[in-house]
Amino acid sequence: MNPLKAVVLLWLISPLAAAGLGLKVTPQVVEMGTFYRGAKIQIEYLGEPGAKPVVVIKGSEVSEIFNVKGRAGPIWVNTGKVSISGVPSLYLSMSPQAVSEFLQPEAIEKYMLDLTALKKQIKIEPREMDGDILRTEYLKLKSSENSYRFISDAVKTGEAGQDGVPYVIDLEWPRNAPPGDYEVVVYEFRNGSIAKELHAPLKADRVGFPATMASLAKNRPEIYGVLCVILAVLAGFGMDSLVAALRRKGKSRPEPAEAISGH
Amino acid sequence: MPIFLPVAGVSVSLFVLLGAGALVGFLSGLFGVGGGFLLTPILIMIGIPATVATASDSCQIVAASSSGVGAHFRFGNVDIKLGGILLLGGLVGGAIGVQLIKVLRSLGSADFFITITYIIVLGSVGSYMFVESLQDLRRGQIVPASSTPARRGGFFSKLPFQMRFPRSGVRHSVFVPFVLCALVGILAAIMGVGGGFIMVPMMVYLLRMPMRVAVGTDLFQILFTCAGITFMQAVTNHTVDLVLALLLAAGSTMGAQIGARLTRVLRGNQMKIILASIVLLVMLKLVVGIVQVPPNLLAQAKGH
Repeated sequence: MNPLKAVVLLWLISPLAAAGLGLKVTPQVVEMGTFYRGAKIQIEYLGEPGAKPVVVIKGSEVSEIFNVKGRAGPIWVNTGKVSISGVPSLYLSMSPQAVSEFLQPEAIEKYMLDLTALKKQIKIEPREMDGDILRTEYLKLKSSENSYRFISDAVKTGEAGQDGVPYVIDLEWPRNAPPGDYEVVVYEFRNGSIAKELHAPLKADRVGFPATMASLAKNRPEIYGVLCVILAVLAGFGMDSLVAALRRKGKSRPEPAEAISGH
Repeated sequence: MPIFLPVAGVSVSLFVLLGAGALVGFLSGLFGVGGGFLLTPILIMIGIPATVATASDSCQIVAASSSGVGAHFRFGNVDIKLGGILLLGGLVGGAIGVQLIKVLRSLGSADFFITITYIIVLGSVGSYMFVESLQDLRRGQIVPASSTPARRGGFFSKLPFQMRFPRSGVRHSVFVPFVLCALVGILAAIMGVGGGFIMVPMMVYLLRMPMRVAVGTDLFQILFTCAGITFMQAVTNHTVDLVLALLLAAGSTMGAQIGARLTRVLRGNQMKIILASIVLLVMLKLVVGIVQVPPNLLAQAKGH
């Protein structure tokens, strides 16, 4: 075969092969435009027959500052601030059944596949405020925000073909998930041990007007600050002038009673 | 209908934002309060990050107070001369308050002190206004919103640099509004609010200003204070979401117009009793909040 033809053929089939044998995330970029209302994500993966896949979507690791409430006599007040880090901003774990049904606790902890495993990763500063209570409260908070979720019946299994078994996950991308880089990881387990691990990037990114505004706020803060004040003042006085004009118009409209009384 | 907020990075309902803005704008136009005490918790509740909620709130107060000032100015309710002195006093007091907070934070007792200050100040101001207005209503005394309370002589009238404030119909030493407003500024900085809740009663009861002029003049000084805060937040923390602020402002400017117009209809003691009730409700909410076991021991820090 002509070497040039061979290169072209290889270039054409390689993405398909990658999609067929590996991991495919659609779309790869969640576009956050002006009227963004969340998105639907489809994750497709071709696995081995009899394997148990666990699909995890992780956000980047962030450090967050929290006020800690504590008792001072009969009342609850903020007793200090803590910085919490070491865990992802978003953590969505999806599996065909509860991971405890096919994995040993050691494997669950190693691949961080439940809240107990995540709890161990949390870092709290200052160290003297670190403790089980705050770690538990943090996980409770993240779960209530839907930022940490464990879905045990999310993986749909297709008919086994020659290349393997197709697994599909249809996911509602959380509307409150912030823009940033995320990672989709597939852990394929066989007989309780890891058989394969696949990674794919997923990005949530501002586009259009939100992207322009966010960039201005970050890169030209002085101009943005002045713009904020000017537009706010204009909006306020503009609305006031509009209302005043409407009122004047309403008053100037001749009404029979007014015309007679001469007001 | 959802809308994506560029700086906050979250998508929220447009109508929720307009409604929240209208509510605080109404209070702002009616009572001259910024509404930050109410709006920031609402924004956090609907999923806006606390730092963005606080900063954007200042920006929308600029819009709401501009609208309110415009309306009050036409009705002759803004005393620019007195407002200027109040603004200076507030800025000086605010700067002292910020330093005081730093000292208290280093002692580890700042938050306890803030909460107790809040409850005592709101409780005292609210109760005094409520009882006094109730007595007026019971006596059947009608106090028009434009009326000037009886002037008091005594110590204040003997101070130097006496100045007439024709718009408010009062005469005071320059030091009186300046020092009183500096004290309010200290309290406002400690409590982390604009101070309208304390400022308006202070103007009515201590400076003997008519309620309507107190509201208009307070909005005038809030406009400048919040414009400064907005700019500083944008430059320092990059947390002002202009889209969020303008949507809230769209609601709040409409609300402020209705509120300002209502001051022409309500009588002075009626306005005082409504404001007193809101102040007392806020205080009650604070008391319940600090006595009740919180749903979570962690709360996102919004800075102070």
